[in-house]
Amino acid sequence: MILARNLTQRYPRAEGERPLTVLEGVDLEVRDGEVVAILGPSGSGKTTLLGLLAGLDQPSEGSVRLEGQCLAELNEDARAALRAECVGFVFQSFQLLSTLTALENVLVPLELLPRQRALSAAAAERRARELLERVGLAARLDHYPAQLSGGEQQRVGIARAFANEPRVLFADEPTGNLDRETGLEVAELLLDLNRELGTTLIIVTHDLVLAQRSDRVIRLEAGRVAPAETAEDAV
Amino acid sequence: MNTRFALAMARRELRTSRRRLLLYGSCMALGIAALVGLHGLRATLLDAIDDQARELLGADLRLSSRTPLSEALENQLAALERSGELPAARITQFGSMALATRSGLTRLTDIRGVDGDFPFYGRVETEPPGLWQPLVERNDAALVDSSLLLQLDIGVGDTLALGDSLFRIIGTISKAPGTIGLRTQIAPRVFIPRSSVAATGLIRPGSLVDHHTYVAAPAAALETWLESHRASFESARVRIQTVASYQADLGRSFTTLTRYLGLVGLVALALGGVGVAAGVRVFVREKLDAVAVLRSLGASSTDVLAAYGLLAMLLGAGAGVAGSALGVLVQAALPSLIGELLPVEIEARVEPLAIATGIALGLWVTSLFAIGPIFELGRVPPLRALRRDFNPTPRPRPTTAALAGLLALSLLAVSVWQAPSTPVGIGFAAGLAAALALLAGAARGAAALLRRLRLGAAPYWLRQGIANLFRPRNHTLATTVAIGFGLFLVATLHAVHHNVRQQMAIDARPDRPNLVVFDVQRDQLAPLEALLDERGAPVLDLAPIVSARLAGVRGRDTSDWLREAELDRDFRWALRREYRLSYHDEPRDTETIVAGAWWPTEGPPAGLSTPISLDEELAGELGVEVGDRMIWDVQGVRLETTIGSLRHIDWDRMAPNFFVVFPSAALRDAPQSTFLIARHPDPDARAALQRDIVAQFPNVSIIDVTVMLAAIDAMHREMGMAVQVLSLFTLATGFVILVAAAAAARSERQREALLLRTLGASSHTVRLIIATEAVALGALAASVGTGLAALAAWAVVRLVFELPFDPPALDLVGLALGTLALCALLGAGGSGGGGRSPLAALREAETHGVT
Repeated sequence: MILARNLTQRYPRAEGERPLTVLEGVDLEVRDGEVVAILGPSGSGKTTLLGLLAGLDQPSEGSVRLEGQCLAELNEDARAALRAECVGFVFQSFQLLSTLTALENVLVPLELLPRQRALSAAAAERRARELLERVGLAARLDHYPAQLSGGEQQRVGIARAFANEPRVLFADEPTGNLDRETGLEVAELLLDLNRELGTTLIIVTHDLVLAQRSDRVIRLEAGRVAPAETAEDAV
Repeated sequence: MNTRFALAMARRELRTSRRRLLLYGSCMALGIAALVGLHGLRATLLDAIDDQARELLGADLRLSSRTPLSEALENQLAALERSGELPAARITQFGSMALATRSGLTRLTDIRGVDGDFPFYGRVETEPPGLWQPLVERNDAALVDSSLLLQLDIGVGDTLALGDSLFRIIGTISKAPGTIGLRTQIAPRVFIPRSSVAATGLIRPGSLVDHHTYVAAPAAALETWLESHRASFESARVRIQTVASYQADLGRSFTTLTRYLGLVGLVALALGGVGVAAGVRVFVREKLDAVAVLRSLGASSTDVLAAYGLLAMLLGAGAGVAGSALGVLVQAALPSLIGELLPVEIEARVEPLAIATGIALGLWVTSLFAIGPIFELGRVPPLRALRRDFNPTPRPRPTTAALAGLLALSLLAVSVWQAPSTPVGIGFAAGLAAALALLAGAARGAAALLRRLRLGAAPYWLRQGIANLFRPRNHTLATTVAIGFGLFLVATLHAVHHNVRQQMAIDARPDRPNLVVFDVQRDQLAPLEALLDERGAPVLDLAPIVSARLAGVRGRDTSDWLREAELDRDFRWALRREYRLSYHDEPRDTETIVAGAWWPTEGPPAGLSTPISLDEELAGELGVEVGDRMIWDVQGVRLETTIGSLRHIDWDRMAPNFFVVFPSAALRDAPQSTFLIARHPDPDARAALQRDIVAQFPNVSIIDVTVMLAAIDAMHREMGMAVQVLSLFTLATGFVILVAAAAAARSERQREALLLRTLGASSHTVRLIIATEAVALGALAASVGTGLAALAAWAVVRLVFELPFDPPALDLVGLALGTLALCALLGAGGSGGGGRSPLAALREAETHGVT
């Protein structure tokens, strides 16, 4: 479960100017296994909210509890350990490591697992291969990102996101850099895997189709949550 | 820390970045090679000295003094000799002119009268062989260094006139105890039977003679004997050389030589470190996005630091191994460069310790220079994976300051470890740090200045190219420091070398004094001056010389002082040495009074203690000042004096200069010889003149300065060659850095070059932009580097060598232009995208860091 209370994020500006408020007083509760879409125009604070929920940044005010842990009480490395254990990420611009093959990219989260959950090298590789097969890239294991199309790169990104069997998956506009058809395929894949593994999924998106398929939509406007609760309402 | 992740990431990065890391590593490998080569050579040589010291000394003990041993000591030695406990041999050594009767040529030689069973260890090899024993048994035989035969244009079987005696050269010496080196070029050795020395008539009162007694005995017996006589040796000013002290002396002088050469290697290593820092900085910049992703996926900062730190260590170890391998080759090549300077023969061998030092240096220097940039990776915020431009305000971190401190301390420690002395090490480190700081300051200043420059009307490519020097992610600082530093070092070495050689060329000019004549007796002075005048070699300057010893200082007798075990080395030397006093009543041109006052020209007032004037450095060594009393033993006569003044002496000018000067009245009647300098422009006439002087005044010694300068020049050339070869390592390192910097610049600018092309800029325009940046950077680095070099060379030449400075302007401009051209060539060589379509190239550039 994710629990956010009064989340506010301000960034300092030039001396003498008031700080820039990107997010203000956001309260949010996401149940286990729930799929939540965050919608909103550019600059409304969607990505900032995602970053705060995932513990990538610290809020100026308010608190986030992720998997029972208050993020403010953890230092950066402890938050990283929490992410390694139970968080997955899918990025808009794929964010694959260019010097690693598709298989190695998927292996990274498995190598970062805490000791008690660590897999043997062979088991980790087996799992990475299975995931890449699952996303339809069995023939592309040893390809470098530059040798893959955008859709293929995002499939690798999805395989990587599920590699450590996360309890929560954050997706930042996962179809934003893809054409409509490929976007649909990728969204389908993401939701299928989510269902199969029972992952909590939080998606920042502009894609209304993707939003419609979520359990709940949160609409952000100028850093605040707009009063719309169901996906249909919001969309 | 997750070891598995760190190892896997380091392995993968190594796979894809191998070539770049190789380039960075080679920056350091050259400096390491120079140091490993020198350390290996030193270790091999010190071992060889340890093995061969007894053979080099020829005995277990050598006692040396300027006067023959006292009768009491001689009697004791004779008794021991008779009992067979301490067999002894003697050598009387002095300098004198040798005249070849057939060629008529003369030469200053180092004459050694030998007797007894010398050497007790090792052997003397002669050509033809087996002539050593016959030499001692014959009265008129001489064995000489082969260089003398060449210099006098004679051969074996010819006759050599030494003073009043004639000797037949029965052969040459190919190996004998003692080290020779370049000394044979200045004064070749002539071995004659000791029993024949007196007959030459060359040893007169006041002559500079060394009486050596060589003793062979087991170490324990020797130690007891030495201890029981140490006090009498001290008071008789007998110098004691044991095998151990000889080993230490030989080792010390060579260690100093290799340490000075090592500083040149250290320069190359420091430069390599700057290259590594510049390269790793670009590498790290490219990895920021990838690391942000890793952080968002759960990698801790420690995991990231471990992965990339391991990569840096692999780089360092690789550079260490490569440098050490190259160092072994340097070690094998060095003896052929400085062979004449080596005291013993050595065999090439691989020194494990030198190689371990090389690898350790590689690791250490990489840690120092790469760890700063790598620490940046540990600080990459994970949010950057979502927002590429997210860059929290950098807070000053204690680690940054600690790292800078560690870097400075390490530079200091390695400099002090490598340098011949702590002050030299500190000076060297301070000089390097100042040069780096000045270069960095100049780079920042230039960037700030360019930012203010209004280039509104200039073409687009020029504006863009110049703007690249101060825009975000510029590499003005790194490139200026790396290239400017390389150029600075190379240009400084060159400029100093140029000035020293230039000075020697001036000294060798025919309008300079070129004949030095000494040991001229009082009755010989007038006829000698007449002879010189008649031959067109007028006397330019002369000074009387009176030998004396210091009998008392600072209220105590010298012998009293010398009984103290713990005396400062310099003070002991100043107490024991034989002084060449002189007298004149007005300060010379080369003398400046720095304390007290000179006595009145007409002489000091009678009745008071005799005033004298001391060299300021000698006064420091003796711990005396104006007004202090000193007692002299002038060949048996005690003379009480008071220090009237201290002088600064310009020793570099060819003029008679003396540590201690008396008023004329005090020493005019003392036994003395005269030292004079003269000039004759024609070498043949000089040779003829020397021959005639020796024929007429056999005891007089003459040095042809041009011949001596040629010998010094030969030594200088040898040293210069070694320095230049090591400087080549610096230059090569500089070049590698240039290539690495150009490659880094290219990879940084590629993406925006492609964007420009996509937006419609022609590939020509893009090339011009990149070339402008490269040329501007090159010009900045070249001008700052050369300017600093001229400044540093001026300081070294004026303050260390105390010579007039003549900047090799053309060479410096050439070096600067060469660097500039190379920068332009390398910078413009690979400009954005070439002939490929912008789309294809953009796609490749986009997948550079993360995708």
